[in-house]
Amino acid sequence: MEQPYQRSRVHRYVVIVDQSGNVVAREDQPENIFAPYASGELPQEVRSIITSARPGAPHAVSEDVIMHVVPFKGTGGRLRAAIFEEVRVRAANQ
Amino acid sequence: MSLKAGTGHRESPRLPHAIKQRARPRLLLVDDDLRIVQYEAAALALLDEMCGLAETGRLPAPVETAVVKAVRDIDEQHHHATVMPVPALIIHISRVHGSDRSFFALMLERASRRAPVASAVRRYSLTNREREVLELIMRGLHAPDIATELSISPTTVTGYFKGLLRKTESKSRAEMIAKVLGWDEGDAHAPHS
Repeated sequence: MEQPYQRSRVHRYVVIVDQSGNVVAREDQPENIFAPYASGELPQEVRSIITSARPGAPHAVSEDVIMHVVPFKGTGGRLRAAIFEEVRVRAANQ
Repeated sequence: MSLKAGTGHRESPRLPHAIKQRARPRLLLVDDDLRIVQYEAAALALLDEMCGLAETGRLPAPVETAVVKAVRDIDEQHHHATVMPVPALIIHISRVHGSDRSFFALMLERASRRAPVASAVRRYSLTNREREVLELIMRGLHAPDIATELSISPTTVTGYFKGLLRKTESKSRAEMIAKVLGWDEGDAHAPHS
């Protein structure tokens, strides 16, 4: 049977940043749970994770949100994406 | 669990193993012409595995076709769309804006081992024709294209569509797709109707 946290997998929010962690582009109108990551500037602790994180590993940024850091290749500068994802960490821990 | 600035936090040891290990979506960014401008290698590998890669910088043909149709649905009120261009691949599309550039973010995920449409056929007792219509809806097609594809009239397609909504107890295309994909628990990111 599917675990509770797996059901929330579509609740995600994408922010594109440059190598310094500055926001280059982001989705509009996030759900409330992603509001802290939807301003023109990410929280400092989140920026520091994005700029130094090992790609791929999820990072807890709050009790209910994890963040995946995705390094890109391509044109237009080296960018990274932060995928914020709602999870039920407490439920999964129980 | 909390994060404090300056703690040198890298990866929370309190994240459950299942969350650490779960597959995350693969991401690529395309411009308004759907040219790939930023990508992670794993996203291209997944596309290649599922569809075969197209010319450099382009999406594979079935993916591009589905995304072209889906992005038409993305506007100021509706920021997301989800399509299944091939049976085993789900693509969640969202618009990301910046001050001087914008992209479509394509999040690629493998469909579950149980094919969503096949599961829906059993779960909702769909007829063969309803299954065909549902498969095309999942590819991002709308009534006129579905009608052409199945050589039936758009009015007939609309009839099947209404039947699908009724059987899945959905109020919209978005809700129906969310249910078929198993995202029917308060999904706010599903594509709209």
